[in-house]
Amino acid sequence: MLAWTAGILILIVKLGVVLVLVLLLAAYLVWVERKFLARLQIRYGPNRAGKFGLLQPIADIIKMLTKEDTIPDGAERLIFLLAPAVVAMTALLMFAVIPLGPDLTLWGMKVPLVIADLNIGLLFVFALSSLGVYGVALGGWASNSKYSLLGGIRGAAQMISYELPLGLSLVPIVMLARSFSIVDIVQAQERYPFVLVQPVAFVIFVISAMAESKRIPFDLPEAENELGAGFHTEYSGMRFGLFFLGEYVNMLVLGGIVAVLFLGGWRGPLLPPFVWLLIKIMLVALFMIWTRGTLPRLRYDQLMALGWKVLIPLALINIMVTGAVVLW
Amino acid sequence: MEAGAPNKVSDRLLGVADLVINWSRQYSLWPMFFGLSCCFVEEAAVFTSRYDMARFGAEVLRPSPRQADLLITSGTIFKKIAPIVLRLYEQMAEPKWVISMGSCSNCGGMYDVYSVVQGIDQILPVDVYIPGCPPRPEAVLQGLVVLQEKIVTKERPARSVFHLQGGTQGSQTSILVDGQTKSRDPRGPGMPGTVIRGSSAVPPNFWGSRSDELWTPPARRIQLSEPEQSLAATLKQRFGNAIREIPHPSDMPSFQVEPSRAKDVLRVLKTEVAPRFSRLDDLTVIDESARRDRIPGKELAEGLTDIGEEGSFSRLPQQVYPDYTLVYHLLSFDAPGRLRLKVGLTGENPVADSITDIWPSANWYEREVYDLFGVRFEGHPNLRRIIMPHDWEGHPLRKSYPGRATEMPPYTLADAQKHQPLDGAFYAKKAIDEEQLVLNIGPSHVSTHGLLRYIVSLNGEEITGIDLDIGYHHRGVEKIGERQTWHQFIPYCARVDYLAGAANDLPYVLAVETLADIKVPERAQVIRVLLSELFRLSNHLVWFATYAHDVGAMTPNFYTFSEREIILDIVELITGGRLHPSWFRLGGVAADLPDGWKEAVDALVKIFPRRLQEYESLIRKNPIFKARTEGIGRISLEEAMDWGVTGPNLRACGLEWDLRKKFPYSGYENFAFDVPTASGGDCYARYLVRVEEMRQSLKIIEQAAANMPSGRYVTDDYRYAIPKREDMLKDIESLIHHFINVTGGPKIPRGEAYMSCEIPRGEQGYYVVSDGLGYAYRMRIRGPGFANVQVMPLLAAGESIADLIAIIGSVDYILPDIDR
Repeated sequence: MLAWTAGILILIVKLGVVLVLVLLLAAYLVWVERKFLARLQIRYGPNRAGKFGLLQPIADIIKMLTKEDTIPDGAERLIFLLAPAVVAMTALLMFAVIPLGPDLTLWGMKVPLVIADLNIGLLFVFALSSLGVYGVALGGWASNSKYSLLGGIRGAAQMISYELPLGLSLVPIVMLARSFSIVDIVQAQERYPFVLVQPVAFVIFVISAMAESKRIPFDLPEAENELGAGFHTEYSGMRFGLFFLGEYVNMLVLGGIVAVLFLGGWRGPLLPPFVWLLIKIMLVALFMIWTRGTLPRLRYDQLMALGWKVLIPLALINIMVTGAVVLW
Repeated sequence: MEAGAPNKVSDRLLGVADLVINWSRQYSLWPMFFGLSCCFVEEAAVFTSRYDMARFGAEVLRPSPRQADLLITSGTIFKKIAPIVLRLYEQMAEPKWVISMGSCSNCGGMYDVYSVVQGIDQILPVDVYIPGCPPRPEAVLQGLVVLQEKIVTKERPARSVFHLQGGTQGSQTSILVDGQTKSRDPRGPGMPGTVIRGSSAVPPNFWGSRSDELWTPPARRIQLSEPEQSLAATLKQRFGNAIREIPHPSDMPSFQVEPSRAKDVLRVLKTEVAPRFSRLDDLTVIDESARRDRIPGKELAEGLTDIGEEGSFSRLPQQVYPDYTLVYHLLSFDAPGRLRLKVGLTGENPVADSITDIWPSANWYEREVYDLFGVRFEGHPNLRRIIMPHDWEGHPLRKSYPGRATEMPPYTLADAQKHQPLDGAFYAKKAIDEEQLVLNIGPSHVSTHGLLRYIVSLNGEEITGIDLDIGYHHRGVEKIGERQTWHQFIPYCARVDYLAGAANDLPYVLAVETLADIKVPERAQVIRVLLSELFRLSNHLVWFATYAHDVGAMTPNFYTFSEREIILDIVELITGGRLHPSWFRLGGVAADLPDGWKEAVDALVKIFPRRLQEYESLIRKNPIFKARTEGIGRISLEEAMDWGVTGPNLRACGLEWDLRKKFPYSGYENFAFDVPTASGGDCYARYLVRVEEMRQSLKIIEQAAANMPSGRYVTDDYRYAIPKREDMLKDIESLIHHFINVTGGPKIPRGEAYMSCEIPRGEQGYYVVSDGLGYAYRMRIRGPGFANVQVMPLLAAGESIADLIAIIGSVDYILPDIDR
């Protein structure tokens, strides 16, 4: 009974810590993006709200929370209201299976530093990231606006297409680790990170991950030059903020997945495990921001062609090659 | 906080909440991605490296009004766009603030003209006004800071946020009513005691014109060349009495044609004569009803009298004029040459033959003539308004139509609510049962580069039909040209293509100088070339930035705008202005080059090639950029010539055609430079041409700086020019000329002249008609954008939305030059 209560308590504490951490990280990832982009563009970026603009995310959040929440006439109210939550929630839930460090031992009790060590952790991540599409597609459709609709359709098509190479690129990882559990996969990288043996899968995964998180050069669902604000054109205040948040949490999650699947997760010399994980996540996120600052945007059909005609065949070949190597 | 201690805990808590909310709001003012005209360029500059609005947390430009907190109305509020501005404002979520940027938005500014609302505050509440025309980027930052202070000190938002009674947030001021809470006097407030000219107490026109007391030599006369004479003979032989050569033209061979034969003559000129005149450069109308020497009530009789009489005093020889004169300007590519054809039309609402089957480009020109003059065209496929709103009454360029907005009934909030634009379905001419999505792109859209509305029919993302609605940026500048004196009009020129600055003063001053035969000193000519090319560079840098942005690359904006700032620094050093220097004068320029100009130019010439190389490396070989532009938006050379496409867009089709080479003006013949061309006529070719043009411009700038001749910066013939200040102070003759030329304006001899220059976007022509007064009788501007944008449906048909945006970026048009 005691162990059970303690287990629940620890879980709640872990949930709280991870939630606050992820939200804070996401908020400050926005700050990092604004500052980093600014430096790429020979500017300073936000520096009035707090020292170095450190309070900028706080200002933005309070602003959005106190802004009017508009619902357009003719919108499908319920779906319109729920869509942003779907995006933010699925992104947040994915963090549940990412191990933040090796198991801790507290008062003789083993505390795994992961919220849920599912034996199908990887599949869980895919399931949720596929669900995230619903937020985009339904939000776009429910807005009763043409730009939103086009954005929603683009989002659905794009995310479904990139789900495939994303998943296929990880099959070799599963083959190497012989487990779907993310904790096990990290364990399997004890000697070397998988990026060294699976560079092709790594590249496919990173490209697909950028497409999943809808960022330049794959930001078609919200391509501002074409569709205004795309699927979230009609959202204001914090509901828009949730889409925004979802996008950045998504970046973190995908950064996290790249870190645990390819870069050895929390493993690293000298520094504490969690710091290593954070560094790896931020490296991936910074890479995505850098890409955004550099590249133009693909066209819809080019994006689909890249996914279906290049990445998927490549991923399949990679699976076969890996399979052959593993068998021998 | 208030002086007295708050007596309740809740009040104190609300006070704290006020502080927190206000603090966060001031640093999170996200502006709407919305621009109207010139001011938006300066607004955009605020976001770039030198000014960096991001410091204040305000760089998050939102294309959707739902997510924006701040509406910066940057530019002129046109009557056609006002309903849309109002709608965007209404779509913004509370709390919202409005900054009115620039004189036009504040009060109408220099555009007291029929198509412009005299201040945004007549339809929206305004929090902060930023003065200037346009305000400098620093002024925009100042405006933002003032708004931040206002939010922090004046607003009590907590009560509204928690749904309690009371509290204030967002814009609170009330809108102004023209004539009641806002002065309707074009001279500004404070002059109620002085009767306004044009009211019943003071007649609108002086009885006599002071210009009539002045003597001028006759307008310039040219001798027709050998081939031109033979052409005239051929036409005479072919059409007999239906065509007459107009004696003593100032600029090009001109003919008067009978209305019934006009179309035949045009067809022959396009297809049969040598050289063929394959381009319709311009088509416009002159309303002849206000000619001062018109014999009233007389039909156009036989012989045409000599327009350029030997010097003219007050007595004008009376002439017969038709009611309207249609004017066609043609251009020959084979042997560079021009030709003018005039057709007299009679009647209140005359009808002419449409020539859309000869030149497809005539389509928009004829619609424009119909819209602004009420002349109808028989056989036109789709004759409807093009510039003015669909429910506009009257034809504003007629002489009988009032020119000023302050002469018309005030434009109110009720007008903005009533005059809504037509639904997109009206433009998409397709059967109802066809399944397609009709999408409005614009008039306010991130990538329309101004106020322009595309109505596209979509099958998925493929464009199956496309129509354009222009006129949202119509500033009535041609009408203004008929009331401002010859010198006063110069500031309006720079605003016709607000990114080309001084470069588009040039065709205007050249046209007047051609007509009045004003000799420009060599130094002034080179200064003009120097400034024109600096502006070509700065324009192409903006184009580079926006084009890259259109295909999704956000960073080149920040890079090229920093070089643009260096160029604008030079412009500022020389002229004192940034976007609109108003620097050229009849007979020269406004002042001599200042100390230190050469060092500044040399520094630019030194650093620029490497920088350009660097920026290009980011874009040119980028596979995504190539995939987005190669083979997209293709137009063939034949089509481009037929549709009157000019400038880099024409050269991207492979034709080496540049007015600076073909009709050298302002001493361009003395410069060594190449005319870059590319083949394919697609978005990538247009990119290549413009980037190479930057290198060539730099070459010209380098030569101009190295070989700047000495001498006067303005002609010493002060009959038309504004005399140098030193002369004006010392010499009585100069003083008299100075007084006359800056007050009533110089008298330009009666006649007409057309002059066209290669401005950054293509060929911009000014057709000035003088009735021997201090201001023009008719001021026609042929903007390159009008023709370049007319081909948009050709370029975009069958492509996707994303391609359309790339095409828009590659064509590089600007709205005031299309709508004028």
